[in-house]
Amino acid sequence: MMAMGGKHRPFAGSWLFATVTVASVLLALPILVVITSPLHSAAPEWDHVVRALLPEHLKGSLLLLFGTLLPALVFAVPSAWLVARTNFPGRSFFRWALVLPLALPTYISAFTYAALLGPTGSVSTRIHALVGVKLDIMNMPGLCLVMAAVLFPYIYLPARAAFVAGMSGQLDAARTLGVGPWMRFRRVALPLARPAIAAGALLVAMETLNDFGAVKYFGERSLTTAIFRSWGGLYDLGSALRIGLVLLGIVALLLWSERRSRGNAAHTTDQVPLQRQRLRGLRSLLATLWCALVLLLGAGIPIAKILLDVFGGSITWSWTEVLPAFGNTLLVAALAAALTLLVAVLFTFRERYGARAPWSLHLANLGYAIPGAVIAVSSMALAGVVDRSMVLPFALIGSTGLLVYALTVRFLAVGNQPLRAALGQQTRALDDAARLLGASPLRAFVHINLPLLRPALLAAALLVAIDVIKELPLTLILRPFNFHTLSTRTYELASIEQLREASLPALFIVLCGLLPVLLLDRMADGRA
Amino acid sequence: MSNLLELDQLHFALGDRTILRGVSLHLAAREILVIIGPSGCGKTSLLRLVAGLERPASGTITLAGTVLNNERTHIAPERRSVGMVFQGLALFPHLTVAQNVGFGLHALKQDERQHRISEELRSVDLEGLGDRYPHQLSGGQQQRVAIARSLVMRPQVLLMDEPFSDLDSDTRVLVRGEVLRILRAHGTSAIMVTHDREDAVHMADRVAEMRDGAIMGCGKAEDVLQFPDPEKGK
Repeated sequence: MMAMGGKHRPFAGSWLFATVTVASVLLALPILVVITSPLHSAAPEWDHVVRALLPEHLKGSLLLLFGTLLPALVFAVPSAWLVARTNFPGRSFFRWALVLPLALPTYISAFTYAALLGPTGSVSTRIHALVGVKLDIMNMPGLCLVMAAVLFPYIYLPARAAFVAGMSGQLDAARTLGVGPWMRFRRVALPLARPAIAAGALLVAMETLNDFGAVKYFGERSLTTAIFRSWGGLYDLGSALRIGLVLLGIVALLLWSERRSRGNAAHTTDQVPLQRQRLRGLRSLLATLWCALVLLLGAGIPIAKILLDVFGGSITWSWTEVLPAFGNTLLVAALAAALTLLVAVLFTFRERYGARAPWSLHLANLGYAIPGAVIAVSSMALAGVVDRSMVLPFALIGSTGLLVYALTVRFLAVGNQPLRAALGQQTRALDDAARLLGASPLRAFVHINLPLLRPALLAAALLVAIDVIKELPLTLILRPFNFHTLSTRTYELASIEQLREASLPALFIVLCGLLPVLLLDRMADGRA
Repeated sequence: MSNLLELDQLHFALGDRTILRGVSLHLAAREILVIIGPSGCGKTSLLRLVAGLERPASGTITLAGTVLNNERTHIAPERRSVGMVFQGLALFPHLTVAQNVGFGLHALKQDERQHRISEELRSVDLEGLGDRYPHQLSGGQQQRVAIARSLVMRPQVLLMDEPFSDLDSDTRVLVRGEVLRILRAHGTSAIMVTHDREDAVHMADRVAEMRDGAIMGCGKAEDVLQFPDPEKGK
């Protein structure tokens, strides 16, 4: 017979809950450092930063933000509608191919477009020779277009998922009320998909604010480049942190607006099977051309340029330069993915079996919303405190450990989200059944929840690893001396105008990026 | 019959919503008590309180003389000697039938565990199906796995939450008979909740009728079920 226990015996895994709380505080520290930065007295350089740097760079960030969002919406929403709700030649190819631009970091796309359409770009010079018109994409509108062409899939994916499911009944009802296709799209589909579109637009906004490589290469100004200037140029970490706080304020405002725009939108599921409208004649041709154009801008042109540079034969590759960067990249990606996953698993356990989650757990999950440069300078400030106190036998600043820690802070939400979503799909009755069969929360989690999370664990590890491989600003600031990764190598070569040489590490990054992009495509439709 | 399980003045709320209002019930050894009532009346919450998956706001739960819950005590579900068959069954999909049934026996030695699993599978007519996964079984077989998984722990009380709700009407009649046979053969004391009066007639020694978080009446099945069905009577 099952034995009955005594009173109030504490749960045997409560030490684990305490560990989770400690881990969440450690991971929330860089965010706290930024938030509390105004409490410390300002450096003498701060006045100069406020007068000379901040207004121009703030204006640049806002211009870049809205200038990117608008074309990204134009690229994403019609493409998502066409692919989700209509049938035209190439639809099934474009359905997944339109996600491909996500494999390209914005800085790589920016370098390739500059090499083609910059003032001395190969296409610009030919056009100038032929018709006398001087093309130059290296300005704010050009930068916004390049960023939008790469980032639009963040909106395309959720918009497509929203258009595919959840509105068939309403669209049919509108049809029976005599509403034509355009009005059905504008008055029924768009309002219903608005929360999904807003969520995607938020991601585009955060990626835009985070960007450093493309903005710097195009010679534009943003708050991220201001952080680099005040830290790298003026050696003023305090001012860099304060600029980070301004950036954080914009991100908080964006998060708030997205939440507001989501309102009380309810998720609905279709009772009616999806019927795609078959496009014919000119309409069908236009649909194919539109999707082809968007794909070409986002992925076709940059990838073709990289492939031409790598396999064009005009350069002898120095593998001895690329392979160490490749090795370092894999090492950092593997370490960061492993640490992120470990923390994410502990967090999901705490959320599933613990009572109210501590504030630090929520704060630690905000890292993805905070630009990499901000996390880098705050981690640097923290490491400086630890190094000065000499509690560790080695210096944190300039160590791989600090880089991996900061990457974990930045990408924890990327690892956590798939696990939370997958765990949310596991009925609580499984936990309850395990508990009633005598399992402690830890045993129930390890033997029941965790094995069922295997696909989500794999997806999370992959997504984190690829984000780490593509990451640039944080890695640039925190990498150990003389430590190159594929992203820093690509950036360094491009910034000294060795664009062709930069294409080999860029190709490695793009190839690494393709796998999770396709995985993401499957997850967006709930098929993974 | 002396009482095995006693519930005394149980109150329970979820946020601002009161779910149970002073529920008192008892269960004798080897007795099957069926709680019947419409959806949302608090039947499942009551079972979850007995299982220890929720804590009552006030009231006492006593099992075989041991207080499981009162204002100072809350014994964790895994230490209560209470088994439960969930609505939807909650079989572990990544474990075989034998692994499902043996999940709670991890403290036993391998030989003894195997022996107990085989014995239990035999008692529910699932011999030879131990290597299958839940999705490879019929609805009725899955039902028996869920019962075997609970009974193998030799619980003092078995709780069953709408155990036949996922079955079609023909299978339901068959499985209901089998479950009753298994419970009687094991001499198990059980509380089953259902909104189906026919289930109650066939399974119950006693029936308690519940509405709006309170017990409206409790007695022999034939007495309580003489009352008109409040849902059909309207």
